[in-house]
Amino acid sequence: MHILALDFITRRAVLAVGLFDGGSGTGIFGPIMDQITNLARDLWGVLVGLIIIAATIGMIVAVLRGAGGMMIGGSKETTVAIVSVVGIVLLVVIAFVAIPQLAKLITTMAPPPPF
Amino acid sequence: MDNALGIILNVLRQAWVALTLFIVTAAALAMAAKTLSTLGASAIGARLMVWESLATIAAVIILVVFAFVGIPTIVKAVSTSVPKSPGCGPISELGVFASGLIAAIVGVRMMFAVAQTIGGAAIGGSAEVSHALAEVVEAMFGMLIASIVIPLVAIFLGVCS
Repeated sequence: MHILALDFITRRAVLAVGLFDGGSGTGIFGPIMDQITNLARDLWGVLVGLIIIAATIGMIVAVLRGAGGMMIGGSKETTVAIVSVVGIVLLVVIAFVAIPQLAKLITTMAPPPPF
Repeated sequence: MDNALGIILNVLRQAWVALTLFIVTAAALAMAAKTLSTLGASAIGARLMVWESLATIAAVIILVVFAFVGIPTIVKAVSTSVPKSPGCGPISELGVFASGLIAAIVGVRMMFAVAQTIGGAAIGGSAEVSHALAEVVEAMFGMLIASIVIPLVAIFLGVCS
């Protein structure tokens, strides 16, 4: 009788602290994961802003190099500058289109606990 | 014993789900950070840095695929390879308890090693695949030793025939 009562009390206590929710969610790690996700969102915003700034500066540098190359007749310099601009545009497309799609794909791949 | 095992496994399952969520978040951030690094490096013409950043992006993708495809398979193999009931009575119960716990801990530890490496890449470091794999092998080695120790302890304490 005492053992049954102890088992009942233990189960109620465990339920109260959320350890026994069937393992479907992050459970007891939920609050800290929320904080990490919020921080990650902020960091993502900062990175997006920095990518825009870096891409703009990179393109200005490349255009300047191309213009300088054209002025002195350096065809190779101009070609390299044009390729740089194309590369920067490609990287921005990767950052703003490919990475979010890849993250969504990874989210769908996330495996359930195998134990 | 079953109730205790259930509670501990639930906590470890929640840790697993939290780690997978963290890996997805950290991988996206690591790729964005390394794309920024590539952009900066290409703007100043640092070719080596561009290659380094692209290699880190590739390493992050490889690690995520390993974590989400390879680790669950390894954990399933682990849980079948650890002997479950080497004796009888309390030894048998302990064996079931230990085998369930070992597989779960190995799984969570392997996911943690990958999450640590990808998290390092997300804050600007390089994703070292070798470091993550060394941790994984270490965890598997510990599991192998445990799978040998459980039957030995059962023999030492007296196995029922």
